[in-house]
Amino acid sequence: MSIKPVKEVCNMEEEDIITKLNQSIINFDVDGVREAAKEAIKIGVPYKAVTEGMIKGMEIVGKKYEENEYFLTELILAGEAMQAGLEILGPWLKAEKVKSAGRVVIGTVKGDIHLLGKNIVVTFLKSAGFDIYDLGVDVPAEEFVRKAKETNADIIGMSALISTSFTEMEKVIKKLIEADLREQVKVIVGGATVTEKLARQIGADAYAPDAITGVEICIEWMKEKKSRK
Amino acid sequence: MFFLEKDQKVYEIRGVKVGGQPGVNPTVLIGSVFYEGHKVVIDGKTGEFDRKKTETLMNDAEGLSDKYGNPFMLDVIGPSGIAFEEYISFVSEMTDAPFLIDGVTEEARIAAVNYVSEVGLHERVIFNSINQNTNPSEIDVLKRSKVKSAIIFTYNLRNPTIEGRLSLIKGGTEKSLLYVSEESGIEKILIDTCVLDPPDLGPATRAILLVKSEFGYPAGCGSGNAIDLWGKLKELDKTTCKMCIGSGLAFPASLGADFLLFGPIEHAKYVFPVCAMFNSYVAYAIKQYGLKPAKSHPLYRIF
Repeated sequence: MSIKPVKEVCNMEEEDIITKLNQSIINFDVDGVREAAKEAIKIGVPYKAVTEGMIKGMEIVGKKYEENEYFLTELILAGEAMQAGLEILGPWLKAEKVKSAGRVVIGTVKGDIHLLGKNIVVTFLKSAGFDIYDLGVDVPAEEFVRKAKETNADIIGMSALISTSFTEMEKVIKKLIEADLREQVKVIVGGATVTEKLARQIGADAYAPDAITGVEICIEWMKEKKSRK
Repeated sequence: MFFLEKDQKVYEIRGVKVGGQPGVNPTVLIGSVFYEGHKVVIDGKTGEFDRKKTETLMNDAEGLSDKYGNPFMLDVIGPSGIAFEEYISFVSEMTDAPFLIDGVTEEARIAAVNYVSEVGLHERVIFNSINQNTNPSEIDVLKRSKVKSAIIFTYNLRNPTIEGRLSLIKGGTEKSLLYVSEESGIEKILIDTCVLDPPDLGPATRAILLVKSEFGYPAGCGSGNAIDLWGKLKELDKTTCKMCIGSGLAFPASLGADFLLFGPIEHAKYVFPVCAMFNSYVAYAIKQYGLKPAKSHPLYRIF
């Protein structure tokens, strides 16, 4: 005689959970996200909770940002709500072996300690399903390359707010070439004083004027990479 | 209308009074020099710059300060210790105004704190800033230095709302920034309510009033950030653009800001007249509550 597992008591239906996650992200309701995330685990839909609930919520947040309905404060608050959900759902996603959207090594380059823009990009990349290796701020060129090699990264993202840091960005690209990694790693740069022209000058593949555009570019690159395989 | 129940702290930094009941002391206007992309800078690494042009900019701002009655300070931005020494040495010779040391990196800030302590300029200096990211190493340097004035920057990494900013001052799970400042030996604390982007000037201004109401410390913000990051400003015609710059930079003064970091020193010509006007309206209102605006107040100069 087999013993059937006792089904946990669940107070919410799947659709309600997804809607609640979605709305809680849009409304920066950290408690709401946590509650719905726990319910999602109970009924065994952690992956769907992330993709259909939270990521869709973040997409709406991104749209509201583009339409000037939301600004930086709202982006950060939504990111915090997303993070709260991922802390609960993350371990269950690994169990489901969810495929990564791509691997990104990211940081603010040496000589610069500004982290706001970089952190927003990290939040959005995570919400889009990327594996993120956040090196923090004041990161030496060697560290970007070492981490890219170690993690077999698809993309390196570099942020800088001060123009003296541009030479550091260029140094990372040169070191990628020296390490014979340039072909396999795309480089995207951003930050308040970075421009399209400057990105081209230092040999980056792309410049992102804001977090949303940066993530869109990364998604596009990964689509191209997968279609080539 | 503007009177605050809480006792207001007033600090005097090298003859400049900052803080107090709204309308009593005029808003201190702080302009940045040697900022990223500043045309006077020739080599940011070595601290080489065009002395003549910088002198002209400083003189122009001081002239406006004399004309309108708002005290003037400089926010000296330095990318390195070497550059800082050059900049501070020049600024301290050219003006009597107090100045902020605003280092791009921790290394630069530490070098600047040590330098002003060594050469005896510490009483003229305000350290910019103590914040959530300030490392213990920087606190140690401040503690050992002679610098006694600092700005607390209330940028809350995880909760940039008005409530989040105030929570950094109050403390809770983490040490309050007031505690950290006092631990660093800071005696004159100014609170910057942090402007993240163009519309954030509104929440930052509201936070100024709440900081003053609840804690009584001098409070202000970097209104320059709201203007510098306002992309669509360039789409406006020249006259409208200038009106928006002046009124945006000075806006927090209408609700009692004690100081404003108005961004590039070149913006002095826009911010001084508008701020003097806002200050005067507030000053005239508080007179009816029995308070007396300072003798140097714009109220007695601009009408």
